[in-house]
Amino acid sequence: MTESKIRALLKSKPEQGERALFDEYYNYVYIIIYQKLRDIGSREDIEECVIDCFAEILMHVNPDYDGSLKAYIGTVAKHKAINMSKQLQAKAKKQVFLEEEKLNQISSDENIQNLTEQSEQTKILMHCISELGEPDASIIIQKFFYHRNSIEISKIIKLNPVAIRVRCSRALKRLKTMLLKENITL
Amino acid sequence: MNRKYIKKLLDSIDEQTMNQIANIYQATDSKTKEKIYQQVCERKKAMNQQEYKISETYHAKNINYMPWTRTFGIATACILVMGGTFGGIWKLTRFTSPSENNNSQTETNITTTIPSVIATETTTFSETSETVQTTTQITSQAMIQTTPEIFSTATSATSTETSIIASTTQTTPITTTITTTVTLPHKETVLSYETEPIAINSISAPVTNSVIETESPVTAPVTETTTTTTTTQTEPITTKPAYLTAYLEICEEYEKDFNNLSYCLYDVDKDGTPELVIHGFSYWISLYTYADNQVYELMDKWAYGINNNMGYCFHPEKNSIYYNVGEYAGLIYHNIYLTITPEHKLVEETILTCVNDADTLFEQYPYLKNDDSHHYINGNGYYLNYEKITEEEYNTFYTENYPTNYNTDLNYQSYSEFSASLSE
Repeated sequence: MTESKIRALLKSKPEQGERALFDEYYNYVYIIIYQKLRDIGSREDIEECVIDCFAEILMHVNPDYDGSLKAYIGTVAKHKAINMSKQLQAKAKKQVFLEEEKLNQISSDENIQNLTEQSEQTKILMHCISELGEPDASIIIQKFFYHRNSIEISKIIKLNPVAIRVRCSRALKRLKTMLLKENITL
Repeated sequence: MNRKYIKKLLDSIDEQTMNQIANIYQATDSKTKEKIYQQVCERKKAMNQQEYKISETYHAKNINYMPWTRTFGIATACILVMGGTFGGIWKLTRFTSPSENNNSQTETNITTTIPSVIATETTTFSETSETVQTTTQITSQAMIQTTPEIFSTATSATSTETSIIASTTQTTPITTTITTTVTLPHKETVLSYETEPIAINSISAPVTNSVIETESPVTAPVTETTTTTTTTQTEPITTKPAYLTAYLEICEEYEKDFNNLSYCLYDVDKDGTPELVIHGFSYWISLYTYADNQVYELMDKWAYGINNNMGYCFHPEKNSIYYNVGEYAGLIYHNIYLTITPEHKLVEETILTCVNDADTLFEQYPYLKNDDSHHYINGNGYYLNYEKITEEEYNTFYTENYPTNYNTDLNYQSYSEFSASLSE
């Protein structure tokens, strides 16, 4: 659903509009928050942050606002994730400042080169994963990006855990062959 | 293939790749998504109630102030209700006050207003003179004066009254009867008025007024005796546990989508509340548990009969579910033990693996040597949670948790039998 349709729905039928907005941007918000919190927060923390974020968005979203809805939602999600991250760090008494972390990451030329290489490889990897087709691509993403086990994946893919396990190992084999063709040896 | 490297690559994705993943792949299962949406709605409601500030960044919210007319109306209604209540209480206490209950009461005034007839009647009782004077006043049209006699024997008295303005003798077809009963502790007075309504313009109807007064011969103070009868209910009170209702709802949903399903209750986690097991078509089962006033889905149509999986077995004494999986035609064999956590999740507690013939395996499937998903395989052997163990350890564990110790055949029932047994 496009942004204009969501805006129109928000004006005419607010409840339907809110549901459409949630459905459209749920994955986007979740992935932003997941990226920020996966190392310090539990899955419950991530879900809590997603709830908080959407409640904030639905409270304040303005259907008449001309700017990009996605950009606004993305910004709210990032801010909420950073706030939650700080809270969790304070809770865990880990005073790690995000800005310092970022500065450390780009402190040497080698790292920049590595990051660029990694970025290229990630693009190729993503392309190869999508070439696997469904449900193998989803299994790989759930397994290696969202770090879910076969039982959790089975709830998303609607296959039983046994099938997930078997498909995952076969998909990995195919992925390796495809990456070799792209001159990526791992 | 190095799994860690794939994880590392995916962990360091840029925003564009993040968008790509968000657009194509689901972030969570649909039930979690729905649960999150419901919580979003609840939180939004809570925030709406709290937040009345007008944001400068965003649009102003509608604030529903209560209009002053409504406030005034509510206040007036409250005052009237309170006034009525106090008045009623005052009247009641006046009639039943012990000081007024004795025979020293000399005078009682009763005023009755008949709005539709536009007439006012005032009756005066005087016990000392033993007379009752009733005056019925009709607005500017008729005046009725009656002086009925009351006999001291207190049986009955009837008096016929004649209207003062009796210009016409037209009889109106409607008859209105007003009966006023005043009950005092020692005296009961019944006044019965039978009055034909009087039209405003030149109508004078004959009026009959009968007053019946009964006086009890009791003159001494009355001692009240209260008898309390207690009835004991002997019928047993049966309450159906909440989980049964919840489970029946799930069964009904399943019945809408599938045929020939079988159901049973089995306490898998041994917490006293049985779990619902749904068996479908002899090749899948679903498992639900009930806790914290809600149902948790543990297995959603988990299939068996493939990959050497012979089915899911439930331990009769432990919180444990067993099933087996064979890979590569049984060359790798997993015994998987599941358990239900206190958070109502089904997790793999133990994975006991046996590699029967590694040579054949690697000969037929050479890529497995470099396959990170089977990184633990380095020849024939036994593995506990992918860590190598000795054959003895394997056998000890396997014997202690032998599959035959588990129940494979539960007491499944058809939907009609199951729902009937739950209703009982």
